[in-house]
This record gives sequence, C-alpha cells and structure tokens, in this order.
Amino acid sequence: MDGFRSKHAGKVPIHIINKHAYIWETQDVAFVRTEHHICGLMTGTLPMLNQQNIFLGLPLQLFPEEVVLLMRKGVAVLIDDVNAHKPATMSEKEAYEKAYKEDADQQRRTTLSLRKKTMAAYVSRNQSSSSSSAANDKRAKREEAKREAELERRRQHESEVDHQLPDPEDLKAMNERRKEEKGEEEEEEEQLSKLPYLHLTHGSSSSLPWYHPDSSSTAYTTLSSAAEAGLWTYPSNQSERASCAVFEDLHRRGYYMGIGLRFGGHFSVYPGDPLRYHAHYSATVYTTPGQPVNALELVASGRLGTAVKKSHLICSVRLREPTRPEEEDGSGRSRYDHSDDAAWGEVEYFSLSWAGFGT
Amino acid sequence: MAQPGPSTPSTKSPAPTKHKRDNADKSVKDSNKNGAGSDSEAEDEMPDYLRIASLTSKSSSTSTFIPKRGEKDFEPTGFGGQSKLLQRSREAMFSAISGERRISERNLTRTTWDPSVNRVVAHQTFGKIFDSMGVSVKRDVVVDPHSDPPAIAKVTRLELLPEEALFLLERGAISCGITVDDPKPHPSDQMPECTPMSLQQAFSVMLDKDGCSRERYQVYAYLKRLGYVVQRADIVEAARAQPGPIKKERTTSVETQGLISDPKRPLRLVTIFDLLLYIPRRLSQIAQDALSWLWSLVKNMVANVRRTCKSVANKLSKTTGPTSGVGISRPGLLGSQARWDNYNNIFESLQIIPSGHDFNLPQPTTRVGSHPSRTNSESSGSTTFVEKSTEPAKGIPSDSEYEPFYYAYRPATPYKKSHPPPPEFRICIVNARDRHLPNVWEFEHMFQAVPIPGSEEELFGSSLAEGVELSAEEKAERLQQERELKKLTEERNKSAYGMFSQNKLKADAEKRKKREEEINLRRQRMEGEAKAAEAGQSWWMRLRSRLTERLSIILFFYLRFSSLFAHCPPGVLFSRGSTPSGRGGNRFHHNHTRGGPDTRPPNPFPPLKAGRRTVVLAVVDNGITSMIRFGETEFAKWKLAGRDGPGRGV
Repeated sequence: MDGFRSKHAGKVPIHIINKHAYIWETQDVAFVRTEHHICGLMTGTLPMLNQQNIFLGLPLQLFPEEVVLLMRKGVAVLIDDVNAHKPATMSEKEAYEKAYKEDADQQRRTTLSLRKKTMAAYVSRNQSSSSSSAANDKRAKREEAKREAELERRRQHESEVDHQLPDPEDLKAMNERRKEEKGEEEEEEEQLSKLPYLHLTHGSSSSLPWYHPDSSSTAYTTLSSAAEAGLWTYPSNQSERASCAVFEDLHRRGYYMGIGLRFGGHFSVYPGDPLRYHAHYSATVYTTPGQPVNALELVASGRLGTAVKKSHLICSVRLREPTRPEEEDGSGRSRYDHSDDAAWGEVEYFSLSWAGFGT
Repeated sequence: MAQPGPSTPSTKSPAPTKHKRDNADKSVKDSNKNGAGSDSEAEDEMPDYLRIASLTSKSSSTSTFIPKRGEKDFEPTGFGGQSKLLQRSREAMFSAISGERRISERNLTRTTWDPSVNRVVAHQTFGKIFDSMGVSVKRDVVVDPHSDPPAIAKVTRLELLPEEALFLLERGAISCGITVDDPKPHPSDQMPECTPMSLQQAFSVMLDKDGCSRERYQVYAYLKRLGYVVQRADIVEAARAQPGPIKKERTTSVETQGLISDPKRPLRLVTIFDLLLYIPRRLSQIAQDALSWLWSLVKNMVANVRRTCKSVANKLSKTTGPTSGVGISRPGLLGSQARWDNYNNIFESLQIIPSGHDFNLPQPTTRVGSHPSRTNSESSGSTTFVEKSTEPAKGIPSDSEYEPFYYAYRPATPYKKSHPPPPEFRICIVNARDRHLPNVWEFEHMFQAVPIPGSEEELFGSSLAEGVELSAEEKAERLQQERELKKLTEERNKSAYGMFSQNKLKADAEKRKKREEEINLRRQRMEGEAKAAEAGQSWWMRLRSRLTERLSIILFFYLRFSSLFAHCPPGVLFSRGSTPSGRGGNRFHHNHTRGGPDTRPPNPFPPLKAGRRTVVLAVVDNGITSMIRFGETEFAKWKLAGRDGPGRGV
C-alpha cells in the first residue's frame, strides 16, 4: 500500500466492491472532506460505541455521483477490491504473524511495567505509613500489608516486586526458591506469555502483506478504463448522467451534497459542511427539460419541503447532445473522464416552497 | 405555491422556516446528552461528532444512553468562530472514526471462512451475542483427505451467515481467517493454514455471497446495532418447521407416583386416602367417559339433523326465490323473504360483490398485455432516477425481492435458535435506485408470505420439515405450545417497551402517588382553613358528607348485584355482561354505564390503521435506510354502522 501511495501521490484510493464505493482510511476521509467537499456517508459500526446508529464509522461509503466527480477531478483511483486481496503466500503469512506477535509482546510488556509501577506505588505508600506509627502498630500493619501484597502478587503473577517489599525476609526465601527452579529471565518470559493482550481487527487492508492494489488489473485511474473493465459503469444512461450533472454543478457552486432519500429528493443540499449546517434544499433531478411533471408531485414536494424546513429544488438538466453516435454506446466514454474537458450539460433550478395563502 | 420563474440556489430563495440559531460557544458547552438536541429537526441530519468524546468517556460510568445530535448553524456567515468550530467538529469526527477495534484475545471468537458453503465456521464462541446468532448445521466434513476415499464425517458446527460474520467483525468480536495460498499439502489432522481478514477484506470476500447484498447487510447491521434479534426468514421458517421440542406432558409427574390404572389418566395412589377412595374415583372417571361419549353422540345427531334441514331449506329457497342468481345463498333484502328487522342484515345482503384481501386479484399477465402503452408512459413518467424501470418485474413478481428476507424480534424476546417464536416484524429490502414502490401484485405477493396473525398457520409455520408427520394430538399440543410461546413473547416485550413497560408503569405509579399526596396536603390545609373560617356551616358539611357516603354505598350494591337482575326485560336494568357483539346490550345505554365495565364496541379505527397483516419495507439508497410499514387495511371486515354501532363485521 505504501508503494501504491507513492505511485499515486495526492490521489485517494476508492475501493470498489460490486459497484459500491468505499473509503477505508481516515486520512482519505479527511482529504476528500476538507479538500473536495465530498462527505459520503459513514456506514460502519463505531468500535467504541457499537450499539447505536447515530455515530457511525468507517467504511465511508461514497454515492456514485461523488465517485464520478472525484474521478473527473483526477484525485481518485478506483481499486477492484475483490481482486486486490490475494490469498496470502506462506512468507506473507509469516510476516503478518511476526508483526502480530510483536504487537502482542509490546502490549504485554507495557502491561507488566504498568503493573510493576502500580505495585511499587502501593508498597511505598504502605511503607511510609507504617514507619510513622508505633512499634506494635507497625508490626500489625506491616503484616497486613504483607498479606495484601502477597495476595496481590499471587493474583498478578508478580515476582520482581519482591525486591522492593519492605520486609523481605520470607519473600526473599520464596524468591530464591523460585530462582532455583528457573532463571529470572525465563520466568519473566513465562509471565509475559500468560498475560492477556488485545486482539486487533484491522479495518483497512493497507497493512496486510497480501493486499496488492497496485497492478493494472486492480487500479484504474480513469472512468473509461474502469467502465471497460466492468468495475465501475456509472453513469451508464441518461438519468444517471443527469444526476451527475446536477451534483457537479451544485458542487461547483460550493454546496455540499448528501443523499436525499430521507427528505424525499435525490440530494439534500447543504450550504456548508453538514457537520455544522442544516440542509437548505432537497433536490429532485429531472432528466430532460421536456419531462412532464405531475402537478400532484409538485404539491407533494412543496408540502414535504416545508414540513422538513427546506425548500424543494427542481433541477432540470439539458444534457449535452452526443456529437457522434458512438458516444452513446459507451465507446465515447473517455470524453467524460475529466471535468475540464466537458461538462455534462446545463442545469436550471427552480425552488419550491409552500406559499401558505389562507393558512 | 411555486416561485414564478427560475431562481438559482445561490440567490436567496424563500428561506426555510427559521432554524434554532445558537451561538457557537453554547453548543460546545452544551455537550451533555440532555443538551438541546434538535429533536424537532428530523433525525436525518448529520450527528455532531463533538459530542462523542463526552459520550465515550462517560460510557464506562453511566448506564445505557442514547446519543443525541448536536446543535447546528443555519448557514456559513464567514465569521471566524464558525470555521474554528467546524475544524473542531471535523477533528472530533476523524479521531472518533480512527478508533481501533480491539478485544481481549481471551474473549475472541475464532472463525474461518468456508468458501464452499459461503459461510463462516465458528470454532468456539464467547459471549451472549451468539445466543441469537449463527446456525447450527450438520455437515459432511472431510476429515482425512489423504485416505482413499477421503474420510468424511458428519460434524455439527456453528456457522455464521456472511452478514452475521461481517457484523461481528465490525464490532471486533471475532477474528475470521481465510485459507492461505499454500502449495504444500497441509497435514491432514490440522486446520488448513489461515490468515485473519481485515474488515475491508471481509467486505470484499463476503458481500454478495449467499444472498447477503450490501443493502441487506446495511439493514441487518442497523437493526442489530439497535439490539433487535434479526435472522433470515428462510432460516427461521426451517427451524420452526422442525418437530421442535415437544415438551413432556404435564401429567407425567403424577404418573411416576403410584399405581397406573389407566395409562392415559392415572389416578394418584400415594396416601392411604388415595387407596381408600380408589374405587369411587375410578367409577366417576368411567362415568365421565360414558357421559362424554353420550354427549358427543347427541351432538353428532343434532348436527346431522340440522344439516339436512338446512339443505332442504336451501333447496326450497332456491327453487322459489326469484333472484338467486346474484350469489346470495340465503334470502335477504333482494330475496323472497326480506328481513328488515336490523341494519346488519340489510348491509350484509347489500354486499353482493365480494371484497377484501382474501379474494385474489386477476392475473397480472392480462393487464400487462392489454395496456402496453400504460407501462411505457409510466416508465417515462414521474421518477427520473430510474430509467431502466422496465427491467424490474412489472407483472408477476418473479424475483424474491418482495418477499420478506429478514425476521426481526425486539430484544426482550425469549429467542431460541433451535425454535424461534413467530416473528414480530417481516422485512423486505429493496434498493432505492433500481426499484419502484411495489405495485399491487407485488404487494399481494409480499403479503402472501405473511400468515394471518392468530391463525394456525402463523403458529405452525407454513409447512413442516420433510418426513415429519404429526398426529392430530401432537398437532394440537404443538399449537398449544406455539400459542404459549407467542404469548410469552408478547408479554415480555410488552413489559419491556412502550406504554405498558415496567419502568413506565413504575414511573406512572410514583407520579400518581406524588400527586395524591399533594392533593391530600392541599385538602388538609383547606379543611383547616374552612374549619377556622366557617364553624357555623359545619352541620351542612356533615350532612352532605354523610349523604354522599350513603349514596356511594347504595351505588356500590346496585352495581355489584345488578347482574342478578339481568334477566329482567331490557330497559329495567342494564346488563353487566353485554359483549361487544352486543347480544344483550342496548346501545343507548352505553353512555350511562360509566361505573360498570366497558361495554362499548371496539373502536374500528386503530385496527383499520394497523391492518391485518403487515410487512416492513426497507428502502436503501447507498447507506441511508428508510423503513416503511405496510399494513393490509380491511375495510371489508370492519363495519362503521349497523345494529351495534361500529365494530368487527362478518
């Protein structure tokens, strides 16, 4: 993956599984959001809050219009994720296992040192309190501390602490007994192997050695090549092109777009980042200027828009006529590869809200 | 209504109704969960990730909570604070989503992906979550591939469906291995070499396998995150079709004690009294048998006589009745003997065209053939997003998209994987981008997959597993069990959620108590004041209180024993036991029976609104899900007028 990043510097890997587009890494999410105003939708369970649907996490799912826009801007690479994950070879497996074990050992060592530290703090506190009291008290307290320390120690399989205990007589004996059995190093090793560690489930595959996104059959830099390979065919017809046109036009004007399903439109249109601002419009795309609109639909849209405190936007698209006939059947697709080359067409907007006479 | 002329969105179009506008500082400070969440704004807006830090830090100490969405501004104004706040929001979000999925390896469930069955095999399980997830399957597994022929053994193992594995992997609860590319043959007694998959790899491997499409997975995960028990419809049906745990009869505990005289109905013979009274007890048993046999004989005879009488009467009326062609079998309004004595009869006889959901619609093929132009105009019509609308099944729903795919249960349901209860929700899942709303035939198809609530079919499942035959007795027993299971499920859920949940009831009781105390206090104070002020009028007060006391006693006895006089002619006393079907009740008395039991007929509107059978349709558009509940409203079954007022019709 590192090689991939250096090869496609400044580009975002978009992972495609069966025509669905995902982003798997936080840096990429941040990049498309801050640099390109593409928000997508968080769809994954958030690891730390996994019983709710309000805050969701990676993967970020992009909707098709967003993918098309990023590709046309030349800031994304499409990756065929199904083919990029190869079965691991034995050497890759070993490499992974080595890294996994190192991570586990690191965790265990941290745990152990933390435990030691806690133990030392506990012991020193007890020591200071016992030294200040009377002789009888001292003994009783010391014994109590010893008992507790013993308990604690047993629970945690701790032995090194013995050196620091206030009253080392019997402990020393124990320690020596143990030392006879095995070397100190070995003992620590054994303790370490008994400690639990946290298993990590990787979200992104980028750290897996058997993930090979960077080959000509898995990475596509243009829409036309991806379409030829059958990986990403959107937009494949007029209505899809029309909604790309609307998306791109509104995006160019500085709006943020979200999926409009919940507001009864195709897009919901935000004046700024949806994190901070409410949507002002919900947009419906009309593929051709001549497309008839039901009056009933207009009323419904107006009513709905008012109910959700938005004005409804009717986006009428005049797609650019294909100049040559072969452009329609896909061979002229490369025409749309870059947003500088050709716009999808012109978009006209009509906003709609409840006039409210007599109410 | 519509604004005349075009207006680009950059110009100020009529602004939406004023949003709650908050200054930036407040919304940050206000990060506690009870803060001014914009509830009135639909829950559809983006959540405020700034709050997540406070949520996760608290989550260890507080009990369950539901995070709320934050406060937002109306539009960017160029004010510096706004951009700073946006920056902070974004950072909070990015840090929230970059959290790692870690779990102690001691609680880790290890699984492997089995591509031959497109499922995940769990080797051992930890946690309560597996009580409702996974399927136990008996499979032929190759134990020794090197022997000739390869040794195969039947192994019962727990398998996870792709969506279940993905969901658990997303929580970090399992590790899922996939076999490596290993040229050497691995030793036969060991598991094949595996490497754990990342979530991303699992997505690429498991999505679209075994019917687990992205849309379905999203609906599944959405419901699971809310705590619902979700399982595929076909798996639940298969489990329910199994003979199931037929419980031992309840009488067996008696059977084991003492002498058995009749294996079916044992008599207890443990104490001395049992022995002494054995003969009379046995005699009475036999007498009961004889009586019941006689009774059934009489019943049969009566039924026979009645049947013959009826058929004779029918024949007579058919030959004499002038207008029997319209399909009314018995004489009614349009028949020879018009019965004008009540509205019900009139309405019934007026309904000459059968209606309701039980009558099948005409076949859709004829419709498609006869109106080709209409389908065309439809496809070019309203919904622009779907150009290929001719692609989805227009006529007969050939695909299974409109069949319930998931069954869902609320979390309190006592769910057993071996024998799940009848489902509470049936969910169909469609992709918003390539499907219209279902047409009427698709609706019919959808509802056909749902048994009628309360029917035997619902309790029993649509069909039994192959090779399983049940005798009538077993069937009755099974039905009884299923009924109990359903009742238990309903009770549990009722006590856990909604208006009648335990918590709600407790809170209500507390509230009531508090109010009563307050009232008492006030009354005491008032009484004190009244005493002090109006000592002269106290005789009048005393008289009044005594009178009300007497009256209430009389009223009590009247209500209590009114049923004794129920045989009196109507109008003398109202009857206590007048049922909703209203044989004895007089509807004009309904308003006066406030003190007595509720004799009003059921209100038809809630059941009409709820419908008979219901299906939930989940519409998914690239991750956003809208769930819509469709119900079969039965206008034909609920009458709004008639002799006993509105109520359940025929």
